[in-house]
Amino acid sequence: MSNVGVDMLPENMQHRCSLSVDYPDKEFAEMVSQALAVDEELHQDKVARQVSSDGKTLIAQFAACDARMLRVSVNSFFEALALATRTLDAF
Amino acid sequence: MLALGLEGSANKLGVGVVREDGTILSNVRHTFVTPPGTGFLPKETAEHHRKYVVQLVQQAIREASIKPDELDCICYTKGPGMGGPLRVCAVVARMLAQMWKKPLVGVNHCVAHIEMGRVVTGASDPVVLYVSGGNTQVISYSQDRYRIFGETIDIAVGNCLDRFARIVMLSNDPSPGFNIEQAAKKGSQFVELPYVVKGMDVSFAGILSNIEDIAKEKLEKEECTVEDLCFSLQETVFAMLVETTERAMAHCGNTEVLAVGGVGCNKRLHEMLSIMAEERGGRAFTTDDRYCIDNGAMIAYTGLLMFRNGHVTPLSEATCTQRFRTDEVLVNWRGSEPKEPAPKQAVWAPQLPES
Repeated sequence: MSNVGVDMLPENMQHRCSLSVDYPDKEFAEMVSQALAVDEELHQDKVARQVSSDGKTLIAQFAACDARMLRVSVNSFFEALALATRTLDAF
Repeated sequence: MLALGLEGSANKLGVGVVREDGTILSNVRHTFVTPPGTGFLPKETAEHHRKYVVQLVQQAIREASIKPDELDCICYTKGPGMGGPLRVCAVVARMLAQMWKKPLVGVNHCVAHIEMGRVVTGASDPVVLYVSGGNTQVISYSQDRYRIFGETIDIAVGNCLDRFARIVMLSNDPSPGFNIEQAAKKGSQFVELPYVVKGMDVSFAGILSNIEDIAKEKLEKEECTVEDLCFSLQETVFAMLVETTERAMAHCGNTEVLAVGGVGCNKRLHEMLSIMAEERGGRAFTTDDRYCIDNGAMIAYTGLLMFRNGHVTPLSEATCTQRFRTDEVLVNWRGSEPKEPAPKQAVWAPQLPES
């Protein structure tokens, strides 16, 4: 299904989260995924994130060394995701 | 040519649309103002920017009476600044660039202040005093770079002023610096403060902790007023800035000085710079609060300059960075400019072989 597999996330980071968001158009999912993939995680030794798109679906996968890091990373991703989507809606 | 610029490196969020000659079609701004006694924190500032950025872009487009199609590039502040707030503008810029199929240009905030100041005032090759809440630098252009001649070794001058305003509970509306400036006019007694110039560099952290102690002690005993302290602080820190700026001007053989950045719109600083520059047979330039204080138009204008000279930021490299020094940027748009009447001591004049 996805072109980036969960298996590409570091094995030592056992706390995992994966989410998918559907957009009305393939192009929208691609734009959002490319806009959000640019920013790197601040603590790359503790959190890994992969953003991609598959058709109309945006896929984000997270792996972290503890639950707190996972929560922080997913939270800030959601904030950026909401902002990108609102930008998409506005124009 | 037209560019849209997004700025959000600190508590000001700005969006502007400009033409390549510097004509500003729109320049809208929304400032995150915190209650007296508090400063703006990265997380809350980012939240503020997220809340207002989309409507500000819409407003800038509307006021400029243009269609997104007409734009040539989308510019955003790459740094320096606070990470969270910077990222808000970067995400929106990346989305707009893809949606409207326009190239992206990541702009250095400090360079943008300089270029905006130059185009607004018409100062062609001034020594630049860049003073704001996050930066304090004395800059001069030489050989494709804006070179830093002197800078703060700890906190920025604007940060020193902002934090003093917090100590004495001055309002942050419209800005702490503005309220210090107004209060200073009513000050009558000069309270001596440390004067910290180290070579070409300046330091403000010690002055801040010293004035904090003085404020606690003398205000309680009513030996001086808040107005006196505002006056004394301004006189001291501005004198330090004027001293290092004058030395840079002497070194470069330059008689023009341009003040940019939020503190640059302080009238007292401008007055002191003017006296110094006039004594040297030159003059001081400054802009008003529309351009001195962080704004979107300066990012758009500088981004467009860069774009016309071959700078484009690929989407995958369109990051932002908290640390981004002024002299990292290749300034390749000033080379073709007609040189001003050659300064008497042209320090950087090329050595031509005799033959």
